[in-house]
Amino acid sequence: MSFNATAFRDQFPLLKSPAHGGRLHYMDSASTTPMPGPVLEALVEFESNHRANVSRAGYQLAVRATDSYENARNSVARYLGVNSKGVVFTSGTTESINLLAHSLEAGFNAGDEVIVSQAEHHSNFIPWLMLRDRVGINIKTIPLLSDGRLDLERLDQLVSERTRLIAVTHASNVTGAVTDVQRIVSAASQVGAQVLLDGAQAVAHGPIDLTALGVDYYAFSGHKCFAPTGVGVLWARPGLLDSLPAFKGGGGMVGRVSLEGFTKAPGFRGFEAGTPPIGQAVALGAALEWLMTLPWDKIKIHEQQLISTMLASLAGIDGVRVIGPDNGGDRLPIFSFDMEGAHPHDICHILDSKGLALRGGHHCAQPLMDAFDLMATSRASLSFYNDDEDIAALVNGLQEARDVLL
Amino acid sequence: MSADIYSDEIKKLANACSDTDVLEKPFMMIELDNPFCGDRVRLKLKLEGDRLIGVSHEVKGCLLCRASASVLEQSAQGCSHDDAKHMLARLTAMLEGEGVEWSADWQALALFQGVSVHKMRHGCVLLPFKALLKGIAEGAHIKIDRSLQI
Repeated sequence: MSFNATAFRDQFPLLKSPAHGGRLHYMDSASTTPMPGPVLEALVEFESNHRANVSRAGYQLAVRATDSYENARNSVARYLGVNSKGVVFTSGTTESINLLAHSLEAGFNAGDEVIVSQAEHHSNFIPWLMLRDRVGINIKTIPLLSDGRLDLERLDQLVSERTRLIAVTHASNVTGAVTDVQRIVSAASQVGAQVLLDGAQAVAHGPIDLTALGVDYYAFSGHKCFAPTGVGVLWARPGLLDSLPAFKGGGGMVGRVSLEGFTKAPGFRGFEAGTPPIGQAVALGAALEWLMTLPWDKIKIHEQQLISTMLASLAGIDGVRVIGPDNGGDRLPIFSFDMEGAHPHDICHILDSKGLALRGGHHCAQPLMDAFDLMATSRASLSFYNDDEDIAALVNGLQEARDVLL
Repeated sequence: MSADIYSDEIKKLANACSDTDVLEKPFMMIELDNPFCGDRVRLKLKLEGDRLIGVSHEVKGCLLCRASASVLEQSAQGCSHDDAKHMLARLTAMLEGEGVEWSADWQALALFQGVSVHKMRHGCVLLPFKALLKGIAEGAHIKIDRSLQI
């Protein structure tokens, strides 16, 4: 039986909302995703019946809240194929990577190297620039191929005995290109370097097997996988969290505190200072549990069909150039494109009047834009609730944009 | 509705080229980005004190930003720092829905009245004028009012 995108779209109240005045062709899932009914219900259920602070008091309500929060941690672990002991709840990918950059700092010396790629989102670039400014590490950059994939032929030249970390995207939020993680891990292992993957985009496209990927750290955001904003995850390989100093200090991350000092709580607790985003984490757990029930074999086929249809459709519009791989096997359904003579802001403005929600801009990836000598692109980022009707509407909208603007 | 802001007059302004090589040296250069959408405005300014005696523009950006920069280049000759500050305030007011009467020199700015209902596009129209104010202030060593949010 083929995949029924409409049935899945119907599970998202936002996509059916009458507020849009007609069908909303939502094509900005790389920026944020709507929440399906089961996740919204889980959030309301928790906040209505089980809300309390966690890991602090011992009354029944507090125990239920703590159980809900820790069950969410277990759900994250299952989705990533790992043990929950390495799962730290944060406010999102950006905080996760900043946490790691600050916590690794004590072990880095001037001249040590961090390798990133030119495809990185600013959230996996600026924390390392800031570390460079604080400590004097060197940042090396993996360049891009003409289709946006990382040029991993250059990796051996970049990696050295001073390389401490390779921090790269699992999949680009601009080009959709999926990174060959095995090559990254292999190169890092040659010199004893660690690997961080920015999973913000990849996480919404199916369960991840971090054990198989062999990386040391993984970061993602809840709001990009059908959960609320304000929650995310940093996962670290077993044992690593206890080797790192804390990033933020406060309640909840301590063992003993006196006027003279404090001891850091072991494991993930040492990195969750203050009251965490409890309801959001519970909803994230619900989102991942929901995702694990979906027919991913059918969804993968559907996404490949969306990719084929979109690439063929955009290729048929005069003056439109897609920035990204033309091979479905190498990419997610994220399509950045340039229309000759028209600016993405103007294009997206006109598309918006047709009920098409796309983002136009640099997508928090200015170095990537520089690699293609662009200031901005228009970007359609799809999910399993998109279908051929959305793509047809986009094509019609782009043709109208051409007529208006050129 | 979207086509309303893309009138033929605005498109004509957007396509009007600025001959950036005509401005004789010495001049100063000011560049300002809109980090939200990727518009970049570069102005070459000739100043006498805090008064503009020559300007040319180069914009990598959306149609509205390019059109706004064209109007600026056509009309800003002779502007002082206070004039530039006043123009930015009046243009902002128009975009926020207030009625604004323009002098003959600046009448073309009325073409952007339709942008007022599209909040996310205000920045595109304002960017060249923010760049002008910043440029004159830097060139004349005048401190910029923080409330202008350049």
